[in-house]
Amino acid sequence: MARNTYLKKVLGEDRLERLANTKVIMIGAGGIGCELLKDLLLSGYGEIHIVDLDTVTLSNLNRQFLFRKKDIDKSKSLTIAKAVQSFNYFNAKLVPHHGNIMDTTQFPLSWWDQFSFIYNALDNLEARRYVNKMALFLKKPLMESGTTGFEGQIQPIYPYYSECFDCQAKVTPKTYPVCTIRSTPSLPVHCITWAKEFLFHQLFDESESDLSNSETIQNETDDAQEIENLAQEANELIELRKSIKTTDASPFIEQLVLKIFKGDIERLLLIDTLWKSRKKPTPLDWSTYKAPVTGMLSDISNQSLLINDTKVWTVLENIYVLYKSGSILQRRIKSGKESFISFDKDDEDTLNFVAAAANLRSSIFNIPIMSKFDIKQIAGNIIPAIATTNAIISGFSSLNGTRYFKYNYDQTGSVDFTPISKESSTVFISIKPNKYITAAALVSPNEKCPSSSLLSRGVFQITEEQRQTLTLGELVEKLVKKYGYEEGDLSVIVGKSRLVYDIDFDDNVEKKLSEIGGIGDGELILVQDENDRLENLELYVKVTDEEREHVLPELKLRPKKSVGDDQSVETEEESGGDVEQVDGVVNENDAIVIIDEEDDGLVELDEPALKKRRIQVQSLA
Amino acid sequence: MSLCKTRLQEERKQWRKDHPFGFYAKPAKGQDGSLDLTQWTAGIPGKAGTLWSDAVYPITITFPEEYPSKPPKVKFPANFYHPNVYPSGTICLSILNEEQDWRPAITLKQIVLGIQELLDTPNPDSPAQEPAWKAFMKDKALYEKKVKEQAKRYVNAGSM
Amino acid sequence: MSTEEQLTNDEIALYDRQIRLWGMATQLRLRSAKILIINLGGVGTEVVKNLVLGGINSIEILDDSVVKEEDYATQFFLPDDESVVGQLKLPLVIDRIKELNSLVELTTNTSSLVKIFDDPKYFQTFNLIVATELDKSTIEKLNGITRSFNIPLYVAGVHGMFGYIFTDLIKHVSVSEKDAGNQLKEANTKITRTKTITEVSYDEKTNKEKITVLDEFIPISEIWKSNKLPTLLNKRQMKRLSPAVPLTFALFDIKKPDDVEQDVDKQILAEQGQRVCTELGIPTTVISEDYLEVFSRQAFTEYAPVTAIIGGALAQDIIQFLSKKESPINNVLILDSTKSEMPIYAL
Repeated sequence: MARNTYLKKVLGEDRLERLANTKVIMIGAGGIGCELLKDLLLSGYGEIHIVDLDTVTLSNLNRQFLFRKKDIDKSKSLTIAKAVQSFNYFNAKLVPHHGNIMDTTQFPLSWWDQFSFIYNALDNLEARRYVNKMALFLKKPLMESGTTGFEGQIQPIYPYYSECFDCQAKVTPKTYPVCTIRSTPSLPVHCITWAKEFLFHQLFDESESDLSNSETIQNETDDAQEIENLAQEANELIELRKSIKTTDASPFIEQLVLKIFKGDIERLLLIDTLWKSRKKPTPLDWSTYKAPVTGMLSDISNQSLLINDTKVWTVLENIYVLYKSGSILQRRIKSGKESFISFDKDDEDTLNFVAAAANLRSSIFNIPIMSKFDIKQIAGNIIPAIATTNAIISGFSSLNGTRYFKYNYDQTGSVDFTPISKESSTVFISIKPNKYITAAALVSPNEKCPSSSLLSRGVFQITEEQRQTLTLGELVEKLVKKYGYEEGDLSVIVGKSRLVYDIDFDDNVEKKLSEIGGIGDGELILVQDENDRLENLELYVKVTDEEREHVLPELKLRPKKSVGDDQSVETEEESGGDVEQVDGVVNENDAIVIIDEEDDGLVELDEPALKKRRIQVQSLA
Repeated sequence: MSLCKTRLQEERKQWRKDHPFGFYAKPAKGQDGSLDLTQWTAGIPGKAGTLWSDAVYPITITFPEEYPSKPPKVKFPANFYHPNVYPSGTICLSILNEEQDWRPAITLKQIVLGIQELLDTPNPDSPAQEPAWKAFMKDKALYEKKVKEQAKRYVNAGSM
Repeated sequence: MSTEEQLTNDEIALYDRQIRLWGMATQLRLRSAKILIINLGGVGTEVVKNLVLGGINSIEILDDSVVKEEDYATQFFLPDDESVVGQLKLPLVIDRIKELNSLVELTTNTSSLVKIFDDPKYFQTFNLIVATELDKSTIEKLNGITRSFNIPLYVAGVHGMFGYIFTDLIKHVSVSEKDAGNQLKEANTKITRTKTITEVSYDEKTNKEKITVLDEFIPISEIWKSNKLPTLLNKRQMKRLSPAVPLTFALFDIKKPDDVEQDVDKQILAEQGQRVCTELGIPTTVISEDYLEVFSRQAFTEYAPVTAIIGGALAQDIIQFLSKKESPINNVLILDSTKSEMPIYAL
């Protein structure tokens, strides 16, 4: 009898031994991370690295069961590694890293190379895309997972053998035109965005708000008078900001209220074109509120309003809350401890200010007022999250990831993912009267996927000294020789979209690589065949200390696929303000699968999925 | 996203291989000596035989990160005289509107040809500025005069 | 929900992310629920974790077992200390469970279930009972009591890569509000044999429909011998039916081997499996040789990812049941994680 008797029976002795000698990485130590780490530990993995840049907050504790109240504000990765020691029954080595996974200094490519499997437990698109790219560069298996509310999904990614994270278009956050926010709001979210991104930002935060950027405004508005007006509004706000440090609380707030909710609105009313087809706003009548607000301020018991998150405040109460929170923020700046304050949904003063300001603007524009609780959700881009969904999804994530180790891979050569990708599946929670989940066999990479189908990837290794002596022209020569482009007929793009070389543009060929921004350690270079014969090539620049000739990766570029109308990838974008997600996001566009006709003849309680695809998943783990 | 840059270089290449006569389009050169593929300047020649002929009208084209899912922003100089151009210079054209007719497959060539077409066939149903729209609707003589004056200012603007 | 009952600010702050999902009313319902969890094995551990985090009013755990080496496969509240093997389990884990949420009242009971059966009034103090890893006769006895007291009962367990949830919630009405689809739901429509839409109201303004669903349950003793399975499956589905269904049923009639290293006798499992197939009215050919092999080896074993899935789905369904919003599992869920399948059958 032993602790691992069950594991031996379920996974088999060979696999158990392999797992004990396996090093994996888990990225994200939040909702999914807590559950997943527990499952990985109890599955017998030998070494687990944990990366997270976040700290624990109170609202994590309803589901992130490895954190306690005393852990609030502490590093998630360090805390979680300590917390699980109490049940590290199989003596795994735990290595926490507090940091951003996209930081190439802390986590260079060589660091990634030590892991046999990547478990994602992330909460945002940007990091997911980045890790996906790393997995593709290094051809490492990646288990992707995400949840929101009752929904959740896993997607095993076997690079170039199955769809990668980018093979399916993702929903991008909804943005609103500046003019709707600044001049003509019609929904609570417009007023909340205004209060948070414009008013609060301009008054208290570090840099100028995007919403006052004249370039942006000119790109969007249709009215010279409006542009002028918006510029004036913003300038006056800058003046007001200057007065934060010099005025007392009362005059500061009064000036603010008079300007923002009266003066600005009255001026807005003068622009007739705006109100031809809209209901006119009503400026705040300060004279009727001044005395009652003063009265409220003198009664200390009114302070309970500030923590009453679920009450829908009246106009008077909103003014009161604006007054209180505004003067606290002013005091914080004046004290000199903070030179600026950024909006943070968990910083009560900032939230109160934004909620009250948003509500006052709403009432002026005949838009419903909301409770602070509801405003927080919109202002903080909060996605609901629960323990159970995370537990289920982490269960499937670890179970399907551990299936990979059924096979004994030769870690030295490149791995053939054919068998494992054939028997793996994506899993979605989809609770129906006749089933709890939906699974779909993995499919080959999307031929139009910009990340995995239309290009090859490799690491371009170079020393710092070589970077300072090699010219761009010489690099182009080497690329031509190595991969067989026609003389000079290729293009080189660095950074997001900066072209440094093509046949029509040779201004930079004499420059050293170090003189061309964008060819440093951890940066990406995109090389394209201008003759469309060879597929695209993406190079990851790795600056090493190793004293040897710079190395271009050994790759045989495949013929370029005729992609035809590849650009017409339709991304069915939907609204949804999820910029910062809590435990990840379920991408509705991914929900393309329904198992079989089990559903036929049944009344379903929710809507049928968009497309149907037959699948077969067979295999005994 | 690499789809954006791949596509932008493709547009540059296609433009080099084949672009309509009299037009030009090029990415902006940055201070670091690279070309910013998301910022282009282009010139639209007025069609021969129209009020707009004999001039090349400059536009700027800005591609967002989400391109080609989202359309580029295209602008004439501020206060450009045309019923469907906003005072800021922004062009009101359905193929450039994400919520209307923009499709990721629309090419740079189609965009500039669309704008050329718009020059002489304004859409009276979507006014974007007061002066040109009013004149176009009520005072054709004034409209023609203004357009021709403007054309003169852009006679040499399109030198490549 | 009575109007004077309200969540405190502390509760709202702690439960923020879930209140945003299921609302204050559900959170209040959870806060007033008293739940009994019978046996704290792998599934019990997961369920208790999830329910404590969710904010149930009070939970009593009933378990008289002692710590065994193999418990370390899944039971993460156990102290990592060899010397506790053989000691009574509950006193060793309860403090750790309490740490999860101080707002939940947690109590333990280390009496044996058999003894408590002599004084069934004990069960009456609970709104809901969750029993894990019980054999057939104990389930039937318990279910008899829960039926007589009108207490909803969940039964669950795992066998390695496989797991199950059985429900006898007697009778349950839930009202959900959904965005209306192209076709409105109609009252008096059967969703399944045991689930009926009894009422639909449509709000044009919000384009939402309120759907009332009535769930009717049968005693678990009738589930074993249900002949409804063939009516739920077409030919192709019957062909693809996971052998985990009859084999899970079969294991209720087989005793857990005393020696954990030992497998369940394949021959006995095959015989019991065939009997179950006959009783359920499905072909005996459903049971394949490789599944027999896997089931005989994995019977009664615990594997953390699977206990997490079953414990997650179980706690989720309990919360949904208490919220009276979504229609619960009715009445058998089988997890076959080797095929990534989790069907629910109305037997």
